[in-house]
Amino acid sequence: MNQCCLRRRFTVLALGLGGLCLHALTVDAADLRDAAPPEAYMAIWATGQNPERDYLKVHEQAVWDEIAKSKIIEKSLQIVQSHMSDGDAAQFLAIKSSLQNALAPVQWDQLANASEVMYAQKMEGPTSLHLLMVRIPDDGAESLRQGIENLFRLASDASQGKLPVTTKNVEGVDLTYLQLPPEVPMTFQPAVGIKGDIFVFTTSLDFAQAGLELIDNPPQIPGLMIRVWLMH
Amino acid sequence: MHSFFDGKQLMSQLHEIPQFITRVSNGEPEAARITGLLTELINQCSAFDYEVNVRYTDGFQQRTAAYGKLSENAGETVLGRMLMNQQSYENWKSFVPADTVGFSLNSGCTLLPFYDWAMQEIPARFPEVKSGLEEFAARQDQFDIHVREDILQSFTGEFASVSLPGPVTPFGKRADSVLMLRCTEPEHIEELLHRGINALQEIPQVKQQGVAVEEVAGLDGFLQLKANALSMAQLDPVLGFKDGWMILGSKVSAVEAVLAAKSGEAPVWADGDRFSEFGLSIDGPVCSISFTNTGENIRAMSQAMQQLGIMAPMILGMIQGQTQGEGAEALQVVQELSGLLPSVGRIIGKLDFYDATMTVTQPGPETNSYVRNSVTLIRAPAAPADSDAAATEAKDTAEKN
Repeated sequence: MNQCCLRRRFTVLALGLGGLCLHALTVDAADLRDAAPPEAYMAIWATGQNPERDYLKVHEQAVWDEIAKSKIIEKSLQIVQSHMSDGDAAQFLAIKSSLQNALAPVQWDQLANASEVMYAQKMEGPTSLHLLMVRIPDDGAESLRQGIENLFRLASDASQGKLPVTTKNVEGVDLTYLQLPPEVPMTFQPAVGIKGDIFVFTTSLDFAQAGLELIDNPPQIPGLMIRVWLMH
Repeated sequence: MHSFFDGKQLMSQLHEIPQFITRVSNGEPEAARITGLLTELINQCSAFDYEVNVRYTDGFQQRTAAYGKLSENAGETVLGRMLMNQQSYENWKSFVPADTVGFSLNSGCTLLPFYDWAMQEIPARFPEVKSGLEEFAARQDQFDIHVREDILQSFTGEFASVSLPGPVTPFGKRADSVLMLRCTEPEHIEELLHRGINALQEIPQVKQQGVAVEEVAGLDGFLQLKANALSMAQLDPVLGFKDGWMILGSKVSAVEAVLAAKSGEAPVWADGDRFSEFGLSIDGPVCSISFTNTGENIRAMSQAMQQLGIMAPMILGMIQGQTQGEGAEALQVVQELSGLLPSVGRIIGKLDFYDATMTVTQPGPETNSYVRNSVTLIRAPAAPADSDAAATEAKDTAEKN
């Protein structure tokens, strides 16, 4: 889609959305809204922290408290495990332990403090490609990257080396990805990395590159989600 | 939260699927026929231009505003023709009685353009299906019921469903419901229904069930479906036609309530306090509108799961006593898992802070555009410092659960 066409379409959108009300938002220079690649057919941007809806935290805490009180996860696992043979149960416990170890570095509390999220999606052939960027403070992004990389390594080990874990520098960001066998005809490459406090997950290195380029070099015409915001 | 959906971009990217199939099929003729059909199907679905969505918080309301547009040539596509010629609701308020606990009015879509397209496009591309379609046509002639003329032309897609307070059962409150389908040929459909019932009565097993229809006293043009199984389940479904709608109700009283509101003889929900809580200003016709009593539904589900969690292990235990081998082992797992249902029910019950949601879609200011507004009411939490209020809330929640 050329820029002239984009301008026309977003002018139309701007007029159409003039009547919609929106609360004041703070726009940072390196706004994740800039990172939505123009080839995406869907993009979502959200702020994680809005004091106006802090009351939801009270309700959400009550749900988590009830989950913890019920011990439902532990009880479900116990039931499943109690009906397995000794061999299967041992394997089950080994997998459970591997997953727990892989995710041990993740600072879950920090994930809840994520301040900004951008998600974009596009189709390439029969594959739906995804790009997720989350701004997480205080090493939270790195902890999540480490956890996901550990999961990649578990998958690689389980595949007996058929899915090697590789790293590629894309726009100054080391993206660690599972390398699929060349006979897989689809574009699907789960990859993870960080750029400062921004956690990046994607299923396509090219799609991630498009987003990372936009963060460093915001387009002359405002990025996809900025344009949506400017309509108000 | 902002979101942007670009329908044109999606459709352009979906065209890569047939290209991908062509590439990996190495010129296989069968693949070429499939990709031809797929390409045409994607073309015929290319009706959406874009939708922009903004979600924001306003006190204890989560509000969403959306603006969307169909493409300029949407009317030339099958999907566009399915969506664009629907009747909107000029007076949505009249469909919803004052004591409604949930409703959904929708201009829906008509399947007729898709049926016509499929019946033309598929045999043209796959001549081998012609004999099957001829047999399908012969069967329709044999039973004198035709999918296109009798069903798809008669039901144009608009529908309205209304839920009203129903009886209390051991698993919680049950809602009575009324479903209305816009029908352009009520007399013909009524005749088809009578033929269907008569045909069912020819089947001995069905006849044993005492299937019959009776006219409803005081409700002109309505029939009540009778059957032994329905009586045992305490269901008295009624069916009838009025003002261009086919109306199905779980009970005569529910249909009467909707008709009374529609005729202006009874108060309507939109005049009550519940509607005003949403702060939605709705002028002019609506394409769709719905109200979901989320908190009430969550509490009902929570209660039902807790009840089921108490009863299921006992029932399964009795069945298990009469079962042997692998079946008994499988039942043992189900019995143990069903013991978790009360906990699941209590967790679900904690989500009842989502009080209610209302969504309305109306024609937008531009040609082929629409505006959708949605409001979710959130229950205010008790102030932590106010121990009395917190205790009251905890007591209320416990009672509700």
